[in-house]
Parts: sequence; C-alpha cells; structure tokens
Amino acid sequence: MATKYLALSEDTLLAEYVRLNDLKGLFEQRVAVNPDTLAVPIRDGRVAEAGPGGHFAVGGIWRALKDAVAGQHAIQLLLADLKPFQLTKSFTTLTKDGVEIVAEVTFDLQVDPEKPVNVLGFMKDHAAVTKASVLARIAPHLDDRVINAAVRRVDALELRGNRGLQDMVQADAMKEAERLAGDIGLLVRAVSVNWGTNEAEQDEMLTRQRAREQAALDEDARLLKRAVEREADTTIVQLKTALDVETVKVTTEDDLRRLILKNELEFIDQRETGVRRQQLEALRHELELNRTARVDGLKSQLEAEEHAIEMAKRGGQRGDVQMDIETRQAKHRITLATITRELRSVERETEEADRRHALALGALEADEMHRRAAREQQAQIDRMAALGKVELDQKERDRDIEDRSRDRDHGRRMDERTQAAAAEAEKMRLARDLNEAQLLAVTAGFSPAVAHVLVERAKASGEADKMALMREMVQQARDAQVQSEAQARHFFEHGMRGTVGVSQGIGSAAVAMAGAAGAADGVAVGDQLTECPQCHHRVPVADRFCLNCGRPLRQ
Amino acid sequence: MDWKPYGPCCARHAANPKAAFCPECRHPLLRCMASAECGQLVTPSGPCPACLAPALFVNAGAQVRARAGERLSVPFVLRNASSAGRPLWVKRLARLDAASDEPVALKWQQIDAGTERQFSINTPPIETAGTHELALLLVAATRHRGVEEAYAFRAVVPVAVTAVTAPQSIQQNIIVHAAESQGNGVATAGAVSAPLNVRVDDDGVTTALTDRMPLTLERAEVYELEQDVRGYRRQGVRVHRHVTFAFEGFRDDERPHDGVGLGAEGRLTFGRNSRTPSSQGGDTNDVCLRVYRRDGVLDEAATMAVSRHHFELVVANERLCVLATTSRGMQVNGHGVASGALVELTSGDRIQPIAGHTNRLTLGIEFKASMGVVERVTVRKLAPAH
Repeated sequence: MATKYLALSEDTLLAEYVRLNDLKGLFEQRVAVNPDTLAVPIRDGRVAEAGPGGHFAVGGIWRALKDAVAGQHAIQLLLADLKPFQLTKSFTTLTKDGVEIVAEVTFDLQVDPEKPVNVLGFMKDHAAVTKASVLARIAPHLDDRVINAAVRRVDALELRGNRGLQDMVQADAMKEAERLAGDIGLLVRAVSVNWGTNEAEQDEMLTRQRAREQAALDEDARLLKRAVEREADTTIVQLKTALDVETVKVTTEDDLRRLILKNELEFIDQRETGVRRQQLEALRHELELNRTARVDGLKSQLEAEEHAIEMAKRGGQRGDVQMDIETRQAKHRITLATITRELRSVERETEEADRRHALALGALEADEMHRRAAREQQAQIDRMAALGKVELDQKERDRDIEDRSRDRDHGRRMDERTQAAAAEAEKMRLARDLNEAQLLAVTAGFSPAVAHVLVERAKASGEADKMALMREMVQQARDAQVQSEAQARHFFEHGMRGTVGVSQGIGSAAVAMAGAAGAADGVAVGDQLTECPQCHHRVPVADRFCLNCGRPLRQ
Repeated sequence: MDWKPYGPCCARHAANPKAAFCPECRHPLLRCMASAECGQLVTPSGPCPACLAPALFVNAGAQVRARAGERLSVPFVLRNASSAGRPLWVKRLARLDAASDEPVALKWQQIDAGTERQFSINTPPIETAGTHELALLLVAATRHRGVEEAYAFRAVVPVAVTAVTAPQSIQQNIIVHAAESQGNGVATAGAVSAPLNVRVDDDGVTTALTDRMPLTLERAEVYELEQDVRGYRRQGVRVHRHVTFAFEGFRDDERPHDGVGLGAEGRLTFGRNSRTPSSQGGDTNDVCLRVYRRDGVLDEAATMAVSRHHFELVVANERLCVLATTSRGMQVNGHGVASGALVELTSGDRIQPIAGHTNRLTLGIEFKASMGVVERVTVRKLAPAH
C-alpha cells in the first residue's frame, strides 16, 4: 500500500492543521510526514506526540470496526515547517541630521524543534499560519524600540558600513524578537539591517557620479586634445586652410557648432603650442648650457693636461737653467775671488797713497801754520805801526789845528783892524743911509750888547721864517739823499744853530766854530763806525747801506 | 716784492748774524730759522737746502714697465740728505691720480739725517698701452724751536705700458731740471734726474731696474695752497719772508720805521723793553709795547702787565704767526694763547697782549696783498677804550 506524504499546503505557511478523518476510508491508508516538518498529532484534543516527521496509519476496516465498537476519536495533525525561513521588513525613520532613512530588516527564524508544542499558541482555529503573520507580530515592536533608537544617534552618511551600529541593531532586534517569538515556539537565528540609499548618499553619489562624468569628460577632452595636438603639429597649416574651407562650407547649425569647437580647439592648441615651445626653448637652452659646460670642462681638462705637459717641459728647462746658473755662479765666484784679490791690492795701494797723502798734508799744514803765524806776526807789526802812525797823525792834526787856530786868530785880528779902518772910513760916508738893523749889525762887532740884540732879532726872524726854512732844509735834505723827516729836523736844528752862530759869529768866532762842528755831527761819530740816520744803528763807515735797515749811507 | 738771487757779497756778509741787509748791494738777507746750525740763506718761500733735503729713489728691482691690464707695485726709498743733520718729518705721502690722491699708510714719520725709509706704491690696473705717469706727492717738514715748516713736493715715475700683442720697444725719457742756484755756493734747491738704467730681455720686455733711479722732487706750490699746507687757502694769499711792516698808532720812538722787515733773525719782537739799550742793560725790542692814557700819560699798571719780551711775529709756512713768549698770557681774537704757542694771524685779527684787559691794549693786523702775495702788514695800535 502506498504511503501518502503530508506537507504544508503552501510554502508561505508556517503551520496548518490537517484533518486526518478526511483521509479515512475503507482501506487503511498510510500517511508519512517529512523530517523537516513538525507533525503534532492531536487526539481527542490532546497532543499525542510531537516530533519531526512521522508515519501514521489512517482508516481501514479494522479501524472502522473499532470506531464502530469503541467509538470514533477526533484526530488532528498539526504540521509546522521546521526549516529556517527569512522575513524582511522595511522601516522608515530619520537620522540625526534629519535625513529620511529606509532600513530593511531581515529576520532568520525557525520553529523551535525543542518546543514544538509552543507553536500551537501561535495558531488559530481552522486557519493556517503564514510566515508573514509572524512578521506582522514582531515588526511593531522593532520600529521605534530598535530601529529609531539606533538610527537617531548617527548621521545619514555614517550608517553604511557602520559595524558597531549594525551589531547594536542586531542585538537589540534579536533580543526583542526572542522576547516576542520565544513564547510561540520560534527561534530567532539572525537579524540584519540593510540600509536603503538615503538622500545624502544619493546626493553624494550624484556628486561623485558627476565628478566621474566630469573626469571622464576631461579625460575625453584631454585625449581629444592630444589627438588634435598630434595632428596639429604637422597639419596646422592644413587645419587653417581646411578651417577656412570649412568656414565657407558651413551651412548648417551643426557645422557652425563644430567650427566654433574647432576654433576653441585651435586657440587651446595655439596656447599649448606656445607653452610647449617655451618649454622646448628652455629645454634647448638647458641642453646648450649642459653642452657648453661639458665643452668647457673638457677644454679646461685639456688645458690642464697641456699645462701639465708645458710644466714638465719647463721643469726640464728650469733644470737646465739651474745648472747654467750654478755654472755661472761658479764662474762668478771665481771672478769675485779675482776681483777681491785685485781689490785687496788696490786697497793696499790706496792705503799707501793715503799714508803718503797724510804725510804730505801734515807737511803742508805745518807750512801753513808757519805762514799763518808769520802773517799774524806781520799783521801785528803792521797794526803797531798803524797805531803809532795814527798817534803821530793825531799829534800832527792837533798841531795843524793849533796852527790854523793861531792863523785864524791872526787873520781875524788883521781883518778886524782892516775892517775897523774900512768901517771907520765908510761909516762916515754911509752913516746917513743906514737903517737901524744895519746900524746894529755894523756896531755889533764893537759891543757884545749890540750883538746880543742882533742875535735875539735873528732868532725872532728865525721863528717867523721857521716853516719856510724848514721846507728849504727838507728840500736840501732830499737833495742830500736824506729821506726822513727826523733827519731833516736834525739838519734843521743844526742849521739853525749855525745860523745863530753866524749871526753871533760876526763878532764871536767860537760860536761859529761850535756851529760848524754841530753841522758835522752824526757822521764819523766814532772810529770806523757811524750811525744810521734812519735806525740809529751803528754801522761801519765803509758800508754803502745800513745792514740793519738797508738805508743808503753814502753816494 | 721782486726777488733777485743773492750776490757773492750777500754770501760774504751773511756770516754776520746781525746783518739783515747786504751792506754792499742792499739785498735782504733771509736766513733759515735754524741758521744758527745750518748758516744758510733762503728764498722768500723756499725751503732751506741744508735742513730740508729729501731724496727720492725708485728702489732697485722695481718694475717700471708693464703690459696692458697689469698692476704695478713700485718700491721707493726716501732718504734724508740734510747736510745740517736735521731730521725730516713726513707729513703726507700719496699717489696722485687724475681725480684725487690716494694716501699711503705709513707706519713711520721721522727720518733722521743720513738715513732712509722704504715704502711701496701700488697702482690700479693700467688698461691702455702707452707711457703713463706714476705721480707721487710728498709733504715733508722740518722743525726748529717750536716752528714747523712744511713743503709739498711732487715726483713722477714714467711707466711704459705695452699692449699684449704689440711689438715691444724701449722708450727712455731723460729729464733735466735746472737747479735754482744762487751762485757762489748758495743754492736753495735743485736736482738732476738720471736716465733709466733698466735691463731688457731678449723679447723686449723690461724686467726690473738694476740700480736705484733718483727722482726729481718738484715743489708743488699750488697743492700747498689748495691743501692748506702753506699760505692762506681761504684768502688765496701767501706771506713771504721778506714782507714789510708798517706801524700805526705807536709813538715814533716805540716803533721801527715803515717798511721794516723781519730782520736778521726773521722775527719782530714786541715787549715792554724799549728799542734802545737802557743803562740797566737788557735786550731791546723791535716794537715797544707801552700803554698810554688818552691824555698821553703812561699807564704804568697796564704797562707793567706787559712782559719785557711779550711776543714775536714770525712767518711760518707762508703765514704770519704770533709766537707767544710771555708767561702772563695773551689773547688773539679773544682766545688765549699759551706761552710758546704759535698762532696764525690773518687780516682783521686782533692781538690782545694783556689777557683779561683787552680794552687797554689791542693790536690790529691788516694785510695788503697783490697778486696773491701779501706785500705789507700793517700793525695798528688801537686806542684804549678809556
């Protein structure tokens, strides 16, 4: 007899009742339940046996007889799925930064095989229990208690990949689910939360997408530029020409747009070309510098090598020169020795000549001393003779003076007598024509009193004519090379004295003699010396000029 | 103020130390300030040839030829050839350039008679070929009795610079300067330059002097005036030694005659002593300084404040100077002058012999100059204020 397998009528069901009475027939029928299904036979309202899988025999004649004899039993069989199953529920909540979040919570549930009877608390009479009904029972407790409480703590962008948050949500959800499902015979094997894409993430994704698109565009532009640049290096002229041609050919808006794009590309290309040219020039310059530096270095090295060669040559030449110098020095020493020997000989001759010269010089000096002594002796004799002659001349002059004095006295007496006789003769003839002054002058020689009167008058007239006479004397002094007023005054005073003397001397020769002597005063004051009229310095008579002031002393 | 050389009679009469003029030719006899030692006559502005006789040489081994672009370092020897045995004081030594002069830093200043000192002159690179001049300037001085006479001399060394690739040639300059001989053994200056004595290599490049090369030292009168070494730079005048003096405001017997010079000793003495020897003896003065009141009566108190020999007027460095000999103090333009101090005088200066009583006796100085030379100095005795 074939066995009939009992299973849940739908996959979405978690548990359902099966009425075994409906399976009773005339013939006994065997019914089996798979091990992944919990079979809970309920006989007459009591759980007969519960366990995974099972085998039952239903109906048959025997059993019909038995039911007929003993009465019929009410038998139900509860089937429950023991396989783990998943339930998914979406929750909508807000994050800390106010972004709406959709969280998809997946539960892994299983009927507890250890407590299979507990599933009865979940069942309703004459109805099947679906898996979705389990979720409907759990979900309200998870929404605010677990999901909202966890999500509110973080920002939107911190949810994804946040393992700590995931663990916390899972732990809280399992704790809550076990609290709820444990009583109805369900095990919560796992709870996981998948976050739906929120707005912040969408914005970020959009931003990143745009950035990627921009980067892709940039990359495309760069590739396009490079392609254009490669082409532009060789076909700039062609491009320009083609551009011109294309410009003429442009008729449609698309062509115009392409032309504008080409112009932009050309502008960019020109700019990039300029930059590249500058870079190329800089590179060429650097290459030139490097090349020049290398050339200079090589030249310096070459010059150093040549210098070393030259130095080596010069070293050899210097050695030759040194040997030559040493040879010459040796010859020079020989020459010096010869010269020294000759010099010694000359020095000996010189010393000999010096000795002879000293002897001759001594003899000459002795002769000179003798001659000098003789000259001094002769000069002394001459001075003695001159002194004697001077004394004799002085005596001679004294005698001459005395003789001249006597002659003058004699002549004066003779003149007086002659004049007295002539005067006596003329007095009588001219007495009537004489004025008072003439009469006094005439009579002055006979009377000292009359002469005194005449002197006083002469002085009076001298005071009156003093200035005129002074000018006259100055003129005379100039004529006589007398330059100073003092000298003129000096001569004037003596002249006046002479004038007075002459006036007095008509009858007094002594006064006249004194005046003459005074007129000669200032010259030949002492022996061989005279006094300078200007500075009164005593100077030798023979000098033409005063050695103190330079005044001329004589013509 | 013309000047003619000394005659043979002048040299003969110069032996008389009291002679200020030659009694035969009336030539003024100007003596060196140290004539008691050297017995030399000098010109109105020149140095004593016996006291100041520097001799400059280019030392043996010196390079006086160079190629274009090279520098030269020329060694020199400065010798004091004073026959009077007087030391030489080097006041300044410089290399003359076209624009300025570059002083040579010397570590010495005095050169005794008969000795010599060495120094070197470095030239900048000589760029162009040809004959160049290396000009030196020497300011040398001699001192005697607190008076220093400084003179500037210029010497030139010809330097031949050849181009690097130009053919070499030898150019020798012989310069002969006439000596300023005064005749009959009286010489005031003069030197003769010797020709170059150089050794030339085979390629025509001069190597070095083998002997010393004497250089002619020429007086640099313009430099002396411009650099205030001698004369009055501001006024541009000089006072020569044979300047004449005139005196105003003095009594006739208290002053010398107008036109008097500095005399045989090169100075005019001022003091209380009279001009003629007194019976009590004592030295005389050229100018008698006595103070009189307005009524002509001698102010004995003020006169006794004047020393017997109070000060002297001398000419040093072509400037009129007052040399204070009194120990009682005197003033020039209100500034005190210590005994032995030498103070320059210029036209318009005031000498106050009695310090602290400038209103009693004041002497004014006035110059009469012509052609840059002061011909006459007038000393005016200003009337006392009371």
